[in-house]
Amino acid sequence: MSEELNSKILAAHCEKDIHSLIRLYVEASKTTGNHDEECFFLTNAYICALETGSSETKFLHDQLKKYGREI
Amino acid sequence: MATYANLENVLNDIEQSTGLPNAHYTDSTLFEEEKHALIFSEWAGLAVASEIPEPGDAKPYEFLGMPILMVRDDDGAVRVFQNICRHRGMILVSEPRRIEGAIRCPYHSWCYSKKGKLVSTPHVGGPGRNVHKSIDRGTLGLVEIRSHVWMDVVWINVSGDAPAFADKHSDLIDRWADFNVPLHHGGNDSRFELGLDTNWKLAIENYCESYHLPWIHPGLNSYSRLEDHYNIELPGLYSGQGSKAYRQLKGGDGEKFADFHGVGEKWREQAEYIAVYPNVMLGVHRDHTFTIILEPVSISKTIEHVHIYYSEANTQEKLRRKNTAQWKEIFIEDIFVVEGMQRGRSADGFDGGRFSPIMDTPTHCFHQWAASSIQSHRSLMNAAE
Ligand code: FES
Ligand SMILES: [Fe+2]
Repeated sequence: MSEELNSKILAAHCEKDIHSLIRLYVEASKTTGNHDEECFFLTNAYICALETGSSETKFLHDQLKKYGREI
Repeated sequence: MATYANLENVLNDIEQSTGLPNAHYTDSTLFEEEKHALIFSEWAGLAVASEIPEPGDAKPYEFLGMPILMVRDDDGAVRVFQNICRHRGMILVSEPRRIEGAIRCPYHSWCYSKKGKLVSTPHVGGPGRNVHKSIDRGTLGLVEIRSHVWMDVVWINVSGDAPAFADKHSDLIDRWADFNVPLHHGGNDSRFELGLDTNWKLAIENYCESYHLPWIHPGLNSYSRLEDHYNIELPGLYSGQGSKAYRQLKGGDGEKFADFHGVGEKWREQAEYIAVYPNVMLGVHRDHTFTIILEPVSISKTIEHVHIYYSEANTQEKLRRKNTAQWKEIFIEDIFVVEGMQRGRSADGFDGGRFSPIMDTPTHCFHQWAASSIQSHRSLMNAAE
């Protein structure tokens, strides 16, 4: 992931801006060529969505389930 | 285990009996024993449901050292959990807040629904792998503590084996059926706390008798004379006092609080004040009720959490404040007594004191409940050894 994205993620963690974290982690999941890494970031996005009750929860859950990473 | 004074004499007839021995007010080992024998085994008051009015509202408590989380779930039901994560036992929620989606553990982010279900275990099978065959989510939900809401009090049974609240307290629920209507918490001006340097039991003992009224609350004499009072006792469950001379509070222009809807004729001039064992003190009147939840902090420290309720949501603030001030003054008048009796328990060899066979029956009823519950707890413990 780019330096820029990385620092945005850190800043969002710092500010406990969970809504932005969903978007940023989804973005991060797209920058990696590695499937495990992609799932790692998708998982983080999913947890942030779950915590905030975001409308993206279902999509992220489906995605992880499709990859066999969630039930 | 150390041996403690035998409680047979507490269980004696009121004319012969003495109160609980000093150690029950001064010895921390007995505080620990009573925590199980008198509080966790019963339906104890934790808090009031109005503290979490909306779905998603969550509030953490330390109840006798135990971390507890009270949550209102999305269906509006109050739920009480141990406030710890099933992973490494981390405290889940540290301050009151609104849970939007799931309860996320701040450590490794396991997530629980507001009904306590474990919904996600991120990276538990390695990075990006959120399942593992040994982590069965179905068996790893939050540990729920049995709870029941009545009169807005959230009652909890930590041991999990008390009879259902509605069965155990059916007598009191019937007695006060007239107050089984929506109770509207008066809001911030209708709640306060008092910190007492006393054992929690002394607060109950003082609350349930009217014997002290003429001397401690002389202001009540005009409308709540001793001869207008009667004793209330249901052995093993509750005791208190009633008054047949209740006068409604009036504002400057003669305004009053509205009556509870359908409150019967019986309550025109009657009020009742009952201590529900172990730790909740309630008062009912035609136009308002109050609740005092005792939080036992240590053997000699207790916090009283006071809440006042009305028959409707929109009551006049000025009148509410007047009512709060009046009750606060009365409860403050009791502080020097409960603290003085606590200090008195350090007198070596005090025998627990005697009871007036006429005036102290509600207090004696409480002592009998406490002594017999402690005895059964001890025999259970001995049998288990
Ligand atoms: S302790 Fe809660 S997730 Fe690890
Ligand atoms: Fe009093």
